[in-house]
Amino acid sequence: MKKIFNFVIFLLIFCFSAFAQEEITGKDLFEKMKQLDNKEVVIVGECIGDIIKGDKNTFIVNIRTDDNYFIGTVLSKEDAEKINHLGKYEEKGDIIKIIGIFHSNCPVHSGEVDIHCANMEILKEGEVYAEKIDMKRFIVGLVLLFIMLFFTKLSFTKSV
Amino acid sequence: MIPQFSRDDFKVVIYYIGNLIVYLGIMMLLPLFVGIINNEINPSLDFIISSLLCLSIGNFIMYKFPYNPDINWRQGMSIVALSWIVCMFLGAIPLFLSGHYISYLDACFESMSAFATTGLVLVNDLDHMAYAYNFWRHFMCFIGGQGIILVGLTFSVRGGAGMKVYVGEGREEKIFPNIVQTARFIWAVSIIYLFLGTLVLFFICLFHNITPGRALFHSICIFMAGWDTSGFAVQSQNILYYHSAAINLVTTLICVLGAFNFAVHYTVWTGKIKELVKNFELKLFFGSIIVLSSIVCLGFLGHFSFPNFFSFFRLTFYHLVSAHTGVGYTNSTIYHFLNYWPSFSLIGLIIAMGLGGCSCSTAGGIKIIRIGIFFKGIKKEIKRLLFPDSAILVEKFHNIRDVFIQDNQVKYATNIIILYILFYFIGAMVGTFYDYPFLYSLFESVSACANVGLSVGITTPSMPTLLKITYILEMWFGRLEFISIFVVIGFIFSLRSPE
Repeated sequence: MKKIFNFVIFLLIFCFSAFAQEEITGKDLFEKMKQLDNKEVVIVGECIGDIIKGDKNTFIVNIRTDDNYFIGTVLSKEDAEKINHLGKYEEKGDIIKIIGIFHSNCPVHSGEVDIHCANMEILKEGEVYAEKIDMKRFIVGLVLLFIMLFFTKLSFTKSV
Repeated sequence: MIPQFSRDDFKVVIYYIGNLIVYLGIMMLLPLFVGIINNEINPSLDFIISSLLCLSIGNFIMYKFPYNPDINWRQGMSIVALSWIVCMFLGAIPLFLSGHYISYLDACFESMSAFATTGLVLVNDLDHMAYAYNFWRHFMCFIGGQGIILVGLTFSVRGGAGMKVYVGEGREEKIFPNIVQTARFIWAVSIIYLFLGTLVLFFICLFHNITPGRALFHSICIFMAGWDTSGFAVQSQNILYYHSAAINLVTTLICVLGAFNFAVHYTVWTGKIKELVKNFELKLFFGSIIVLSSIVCLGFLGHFSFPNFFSFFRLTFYHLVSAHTGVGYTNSTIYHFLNYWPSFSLIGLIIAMGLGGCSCSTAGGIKIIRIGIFFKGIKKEIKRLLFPDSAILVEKFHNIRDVFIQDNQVKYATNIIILYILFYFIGAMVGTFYDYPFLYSLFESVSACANVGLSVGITTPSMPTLLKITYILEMWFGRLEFISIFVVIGFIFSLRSPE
């Protein structure tokens, strides 16, 4: 009997832990924000913009999920230092996996929506893209320059 | 019978629009500069193309059509109304070339939203947008907030002609007798505040560990969008991105200052600080903020889900001020509106958006002074019934100087109030047609027509095309306060009617 009981407990813990480790999409996180408030979530997203200094030696990094939702994650200094790339023009940010407590109205950060990170993992390093000059744009610009000069000359001649 | 729009009228209107297109082309050199210093090659090329295109079209028009220094009211109004549409189409070119918009219509939506200082956005992947394009989005807000025509006024239109286009942009207050001086004063005030506001925001950004270059960029953009009550932001999360109470506080102040009448700024600058206490419009404005805050708070009775009072205050009051000043900054997400805001509180927010800020400011909406004039008019009517016929009834208020209310002022204010309410409901009906709930449709429609920019999630790139066009028209009508656009529509009909 005791063995069966232990097995059931093990099974339940296993199931719940497996469920807890399941990644949540940005859409689900925000649409179910009331149910998920103050609960542990796992989310994956691209670090964007800046590493913003928060209070008490914490840092906030905003992440963008695959389905285009955004959330601020509160990280320790050590975790924040692991991030090398932040998404911006011609730069893909690091893809990180966050396990943490979701707050729809964070009690520590005066009601903001955020995730307090307990564990952070970098899944994929970001990269900087080299910008290629678009020659079509260059040629169109050149043609327009001559047209503009022509009309400007006409306009000035008329006004003089 | 409406007088017909003659060929000469047409030529004058087109000439001035051409002139304005040239200025728009020149203004595109600023984002080009931003692109160059950030080594953004293709965005810089896009601005070269857009600028050259504007300069070519503008110069061609100025060559083809004759210059006439004297313009009449109907020409002035037509210049204003059509200029905004032309600027929308041309301002959208670099945005469309950026590849961040799924269609040219979306780019036009964003362009009109910026020029009309609304702040509703259809941009995709804003967080990876080049600095040059992002700067242009905010700079359009600055140009639009000041008044596109005001830009032209500052440099080109001379004498009495200026007044006709100045009024067409929904401004009535003349700070100086000379309209060009007024235009220059408005620019001077804005640039001084731009410098001060940017400086404060820059240091806050630095404190939050944002690198100096990015801090400067963010500060300038936040200020331009806040001061000109557009509510655009550099990142997708708007002001929430910064997770900063200090930025919330400073942007609240910028919003309020942006919603003040420029004439009040001038009066205070000239040392008459008592005007801040005596001014009827300011009293109404702050009174309205208190009343509507109470309505929003009342709505939350029984629905209080905030961790503490400070959080509640920060999230609700910020949105109320943002709505009332027409800025549209947000420090939470649309899902908070949908999940946590009770309908009653949302109605409070809708009323705040609908009322708007002060006259002769960058704020949109009905404008609080018109509500004051409307109620003063009602008071006068009641007195008229109570007092003997021989009694001379006087109603006045203090707005820079003592103003005695005339019947035509009440009539004009009432007309504008009715038109705004009508347009708010027309937009809401179109939203409802597409199965959006009425309250949310009304919220979005008021936000568009009053040039606010708060959203409950209807405004997305995937929303129906007709709704996009409806909101573009609402932003245009709302920003110009209807009259100049009605003049253009009147002339279009006059062309069709028989001689």
